[in-house]
Amino acid sequence: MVEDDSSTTQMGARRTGRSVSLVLIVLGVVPLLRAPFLFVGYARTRRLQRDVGDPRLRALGWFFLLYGLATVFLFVLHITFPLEQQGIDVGSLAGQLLLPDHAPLAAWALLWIRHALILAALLPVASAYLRRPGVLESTAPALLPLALGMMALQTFEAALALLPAVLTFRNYRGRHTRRSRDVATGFGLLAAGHLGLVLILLDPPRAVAAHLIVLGQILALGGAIRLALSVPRRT
Amino acid sequence: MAKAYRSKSKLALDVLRAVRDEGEAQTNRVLLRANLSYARLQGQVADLQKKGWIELLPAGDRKAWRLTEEGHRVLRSLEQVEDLMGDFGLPL
Repeated sequence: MVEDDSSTTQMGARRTGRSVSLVLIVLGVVPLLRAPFLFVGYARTRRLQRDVGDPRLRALGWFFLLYGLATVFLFVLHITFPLEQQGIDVGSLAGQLLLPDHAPLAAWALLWIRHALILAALLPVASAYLRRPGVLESTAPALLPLALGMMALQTFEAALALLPAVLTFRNYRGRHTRRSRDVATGFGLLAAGHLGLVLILLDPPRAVAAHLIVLGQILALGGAIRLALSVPRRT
Repeated sequence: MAKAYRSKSKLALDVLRAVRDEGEAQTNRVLLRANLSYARLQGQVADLQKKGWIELLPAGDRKAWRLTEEGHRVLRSLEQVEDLMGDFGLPL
């Protein structure tokens, strides 16, 4: 009976170990894949900005650049401070604000810089959508999560990502073009990735949290690819 | 509902498009096509001419405008951005 307990514990540890390894691989590899696409999106919008000094196009350019930099910071954070060595709980790591007290100061700094970059990327885009005439009146339901999202930084980020997702989906229903569909899907995947991380605030079991991290990263990668490739290569 | 206003890019696009569609565009034709007041058009035209996107033609006693090579390129670029921003749900 004691042996059974011990083998069950070992199996559980192995399973947890596997999920930790999976999370480590995903956190290391996916941001590395995502960042170049975001920088491509930035380069393409910059090229378009040569002739058109439109503030919305500029906001889009900043979104690609800052979100790409945030992704780089995520990569640096997880490469510099491996989770297990730092005694960081895998589930809570995805919360990104719940590093343990004993986490190194540099890890905290990287984390805060990353969050600041995400907010700086999402705020101008959300603001550009909100400034459109009639949006505030007609999309009050879409703004509700934004108000609720003020409760925590992660949910605020998710709500900011959700706003363009809802509005671009509405735009797609009116336009029915291939690119408007890609844009709506891109923002939708990005928002889904953020929302997946919000679920971790509910303190799910470690394995569920690990899968949410993996899923969130992959969804965000899909979103970044869709959005970046929506911008035309050349004029 | 708030009234939609035209951004600077949209104004430039409308004037360039009006000039292109007219070929050699007289001021009153541009006014009608771009739906601008005379004062507003004067400012726009002066700006576009300064950038080298349109040029004034020596056509008798009436002013006529034509797109330059650079103007044609910029117009294509603006139309591409208009299409892109429309698909992003942020029309110019």
